[in-house]
Order: sequence, then C-alpha cells, then structure tokens
Amino acid sequence: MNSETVKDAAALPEGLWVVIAAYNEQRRIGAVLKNLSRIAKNIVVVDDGSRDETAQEILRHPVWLLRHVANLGQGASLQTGISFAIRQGAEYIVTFDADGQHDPTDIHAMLDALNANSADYALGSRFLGGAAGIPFFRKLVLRSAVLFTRIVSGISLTDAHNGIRLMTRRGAERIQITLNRMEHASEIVEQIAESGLKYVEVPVHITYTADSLAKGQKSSAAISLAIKLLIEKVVR
Amino acid sequence: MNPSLFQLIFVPLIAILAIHAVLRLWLHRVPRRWGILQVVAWTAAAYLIAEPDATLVLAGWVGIGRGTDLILYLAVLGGLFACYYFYDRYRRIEILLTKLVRHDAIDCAKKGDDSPPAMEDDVHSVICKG
Repeated sequence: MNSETVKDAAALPEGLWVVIAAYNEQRRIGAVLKNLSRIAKNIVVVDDGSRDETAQEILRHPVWLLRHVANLGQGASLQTGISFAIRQGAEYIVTFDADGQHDPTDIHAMLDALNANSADYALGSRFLGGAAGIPFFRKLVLRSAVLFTRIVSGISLTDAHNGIRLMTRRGAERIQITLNRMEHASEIVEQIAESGLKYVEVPVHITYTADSLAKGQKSSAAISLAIKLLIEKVVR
Repeated sequence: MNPSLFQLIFVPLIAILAIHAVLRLWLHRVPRRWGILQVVAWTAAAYLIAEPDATLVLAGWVGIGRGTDLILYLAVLGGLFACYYFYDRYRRIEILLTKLVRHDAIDCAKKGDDSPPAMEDDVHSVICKG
C-alpha cells in the first residue's frame, strides 16, 4: 500500500463505513488505519479476542473499536462490524483486511463501479487487478475456490475469496454471516446470489508480503473449508 | 446351547445399563421420551446379544436376509443420526455464543483517539468497564 497515493486520494463519502476484522494484528493494524483514516471518516475495527496489544493500537486512531471477548473468527467479526455500521446509519459498507494487503484507493473504483452499474455489491477481484507476489499454490487454491463456488453457489466470479467488498446498505442488510470462520467468504457469495441483487466485480490490487502470507489463511486449509461448507449445506 | 464369552460379558453389562435407565426414568432424571428410548434400546441390545437368532427373524421380516447386515445398517444409521444431532446442537450453541459476544461488543463500542466514548450511561460504564 502506497501511503503517498492514499494521501492524495479524495475522501470517501460520509455515509461509507469501513469494517475491519482484526486478530493479533498489533504490528500491522496501525499502518492500515493510518492510511485508511486519510480517506475514510467512518472506520470500525472488530478486535476478535486478540491476545496481543491490537485493541490498544486501534484506540490510537480515530476509529471505532468493538471487542469480541472470545475469538470467534473473521466471519463473525465482519458480521459484528456490519451490524454496528448499519445501526450507525451507514449507506455503504466496505469490508477490508487488517493485514495491509488491500489498497484503500481501490475503494473509489469500487464505489464508482457500484454506482455506475446500479449494483448493491462490488466485489474486489485480484485476478482482474493485480496480485503482486502471489505464490503459485495460493493462486491454484484460489482458482479452485472460484470453480467450487461456481458449482456450489451457481455464481460466476473471477475471485471468490477476496476480503475487499463494497455493499450498499440494502445489500448489507441482506447478508447475515453465520459461518464464523473462513467459510464466511463463500457464504457471503452464496447470500449475494440468493439475494437476487446486482453485483459487479472490480479489479483490485493485493500485495502479498512474507508477513501477510505467514499470518493469512493457509492454502492447505482450503480442503477442510470446502468440507465444512458441504456439511453445512447438507445439514442446514 | 452354552452362552459364549461375549454373551457372558455383555448381556449382564447391558442389562445393568437397562436397569440404570429404568431407574433414571423412574426418578424423573431424564425427559420421559428420552428415558423410554434408552430403556428400549438397552433392553433390545441385551436381548439381541442373548438371542442372536432373533436378528435373523427381524432381518427376514424386512427383507435383508442376514441378521448381522441388519445390525450393521442400523449401526450406520444410528451413527449418522448421532452425527447430525450433535452437529446441530453444536451449531445452535455456536450461534448463541456468537450472538452474546456480538451484543457485548456492540454495546461496549469505543471510539479511539481523543473522541468521547460511545455511550456514557451508567449501565454502559458498569458492563463495559475495562
């Protein structure tokens, strides 16, 4: 993320809320919030039961902090943040990762695409934009996830597991994440498909670093994630 | 016919479990329906171990043929039902816990930097202290 680019970027609309789920992000969250708060007025960070100083770091910035007393997972955290933003009167909600992989300036392009297409969801796609430093195996897993989502949810995307998503208030109200951990990404896509509301994919830029790869979701977890999703589909 | 070692061990053992289930039902320690199910299940298990040929008769009635196949099918179905039952309970508890944690997080929202706190009423300050 280039902080100079963010500095020059125009401010986002007042009614736009950025929702971030953070777990043990003490070292990275500060830079993310510093850059984001240059363009976004409303930011809510859900500290998902971190064991480090994440909450204290968050409180150094002009953002809202919500704390989960127990670690529930990214899906649960995003839903907490989304529910809070809706209560605060958000007109648009963006989900954004805490590890600095996303570029805040992409939100402008997503907002433009959303409004230009009269859509309710703008989903970031690293395969339409750029994914600097993406390992081959990660790319393979993400491509497989796209295929899996197409088969299971019947929705055709180029990137099914991208953490940067923009939604209108109406779109956010139709989303109710019940899968607490990483399965939530597929659940959101499925709920978007079921909502019947319009969505667009927008090119975004993801920057992989050794740090973010070490902290992020393991590619090997993809199989257990797929199994959990299938069980949930059968049981529920 | 002399009883086998397996029958000698398991018939009394399961009979004790059946009696235990009857007592629990008698003393209202379990919901009535669940208690009756346990008594029936343990009694049937003890009887079928003591009289293995009975499974042959049952299997013949339902058109399976071999008694062991009938028991295997029932065990698999029972296992699947147990998996479904416990997964469903696990999910309900998980959803409930998530709701509680979320409610607490939203109620105790704090604004960073030098902004004033979100809620300053007494209830908030008591619940969200620390």
